[in-house]
Amino acid sequence: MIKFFICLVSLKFSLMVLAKKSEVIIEGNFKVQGLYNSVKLQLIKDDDYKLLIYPDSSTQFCEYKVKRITSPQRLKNKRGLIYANLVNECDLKGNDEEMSQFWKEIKMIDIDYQFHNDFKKLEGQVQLSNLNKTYNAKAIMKLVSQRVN
Amino acid sequence: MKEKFRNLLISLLIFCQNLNAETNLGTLNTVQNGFGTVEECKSSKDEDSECKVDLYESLKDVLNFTTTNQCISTKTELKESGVSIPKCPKSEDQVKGLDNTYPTVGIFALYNGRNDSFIYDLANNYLNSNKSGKFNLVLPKDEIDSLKKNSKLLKLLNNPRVNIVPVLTTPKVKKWMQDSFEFTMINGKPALYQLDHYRESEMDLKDRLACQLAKQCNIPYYVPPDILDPSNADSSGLNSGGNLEILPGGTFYTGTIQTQGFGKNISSSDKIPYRTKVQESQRKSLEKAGNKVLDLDVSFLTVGHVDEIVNVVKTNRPAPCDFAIMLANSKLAIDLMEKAASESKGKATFNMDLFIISNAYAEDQRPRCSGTSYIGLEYNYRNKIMSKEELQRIYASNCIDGSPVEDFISSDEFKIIKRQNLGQESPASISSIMEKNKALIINELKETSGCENPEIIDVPVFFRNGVSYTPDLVNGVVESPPGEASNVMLPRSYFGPFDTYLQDKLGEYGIDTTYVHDMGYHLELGEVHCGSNTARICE
Repeated sequence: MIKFFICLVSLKFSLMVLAKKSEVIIEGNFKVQGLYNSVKLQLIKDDDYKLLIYPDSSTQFCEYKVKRITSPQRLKNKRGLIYANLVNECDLKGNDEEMSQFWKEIKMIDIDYQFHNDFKKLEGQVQLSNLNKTYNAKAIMKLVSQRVN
Repeated sequence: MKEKFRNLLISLLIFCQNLNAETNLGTLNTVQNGFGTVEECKSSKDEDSECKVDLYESLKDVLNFTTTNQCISTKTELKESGVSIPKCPKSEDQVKGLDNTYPTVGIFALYNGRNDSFIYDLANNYLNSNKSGKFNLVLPKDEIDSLKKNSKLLKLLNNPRVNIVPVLTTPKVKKWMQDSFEFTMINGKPALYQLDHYRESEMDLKDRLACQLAKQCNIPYYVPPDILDPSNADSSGLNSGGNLEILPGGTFYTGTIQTQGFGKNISSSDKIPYRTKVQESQRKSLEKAGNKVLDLDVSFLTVGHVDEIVNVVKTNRPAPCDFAIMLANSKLAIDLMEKAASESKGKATFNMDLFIISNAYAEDQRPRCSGTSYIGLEYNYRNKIMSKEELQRIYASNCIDGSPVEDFISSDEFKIIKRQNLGQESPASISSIMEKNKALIINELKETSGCENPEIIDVPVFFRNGVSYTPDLVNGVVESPPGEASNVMLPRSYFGPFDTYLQDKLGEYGIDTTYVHDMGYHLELGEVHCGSNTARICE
């Protein structure tokens, strides 16, 4: 009986862990003018929306908390928005020192995105801001889940 | 029973025939366009009748005092209400714009089942501040059941000054009533001027919102040349309403791209200064009709409409300077936030003229910024009116979108926003662009309005990536009773220092302020003005 109870509690715990698993909504790449390598991005949803940034060859990532997110269908203009702020530090250790240094200072990511015709590809005009300067960049993304609404 | 049914049928037939009845505005068929080609709205009467019958059946028990084809008050009604109608600008046979200092005869907004509070506030404020104008509710058939569930809203709307505009489906422009058309004037009568909206550009004219309103309201409908040339339709947001407004003196003003580097509403191959083809064509036709068109710089705005940064109000000052220009001022916004933050440290409440707060926050055991996030305000109050106590608590909390103001101003986000709004060299700072816009407006007003020293009212608004961070207090609806200063219906920012500052400042000019809960509009990049349209009158 006790074993059965323990088994039930374990099962419930496992289900809770599974339920909390992040869902990937959008994934793609940022291309910043002047930087040779692009970085990958993922928009995920668990309790909140988060934007994760990570180099091609690394599992390290920087986390930005999404402050505002809306799809184009609902907006007055045509573009959807994703505005996100850096959560802690952004430390992308890797071979590309220039890229790591660039992202270390980026505190805010503002993406205005548009759907292409097949409604899966997205192109984003991006502003990446550190305390002193704002850089224009591009994001090429694809919709993984239909959750952004 | 049969007799009752026959009587009902006869009443409906008479009612439907009256849809195209002649009013004192003349009929659509007799109106001539002053500067372009008139494409009459070819009515599909069967569809209209079907819609009306359904509406009649669905609402006859709950909205028995409302009208269905009387969208604007007539001159007779205005005069009977004691309203003296101001004189029209000269060149009456041409299309002219009427600025916000002219009295309103009707206001339009869409009900979508998720904006009950917006409709309630707007209708309530308008019906209270205006003696005879009509509040028009554009009501899609699918939303009737939702409306019927809100007894408080129904009670307010069941008024002979409320006109229901039934539509079979939600218009393509959705709730953005401002964007499909602009009210202009010909011979002292309101006229609908069709604008290019990217969601409507592939539709037949007869199916567009402006044409549907023209049919149901029997208001003249104008199709300017830019709309008739399909090669103009470039889907630019710059072409929509909200980006064509009127200054005292009659000059139209519109937003164009004049500053390099923002990359909004423009492609990399476009040369700056940039106007869309529609704007070029629109300018030519308006100038041909004897109007002037002033370009203002909206390069930094994501939506790119002048009504995000400029508004016009009537003041209690003597003519010809009996007006003021409301201008977005991000320096003022940042100063007010920094001042509020320094006062907020160690202090939970502050006094306001309008809301007498006696320790509302201190008595509340919830975390200070609970319920103040914009998403929370939208979700919790889209269909429910907020209690006075809760409103007082939110004002007293001094929070911006869920953050204490002192935390917000010490964040990296604020530091970057401050730089972009005030101190940035490349691309230019928002405040420097607004200073140029201010100079352009003042010069134009000096030339055309007869006023040597036009008043400017600075409005606390600041931007993140071209979007107003807090609800944009410039984007209000202005109602101007003849001989009196305006009443302004503003989006409620829920940040006391902003709302109080502006209310006090407008009060110095004799202007009354009321508020509209428009968070569902703010989060989708528009506010009260964007979500409404207003007909004005002269004679």
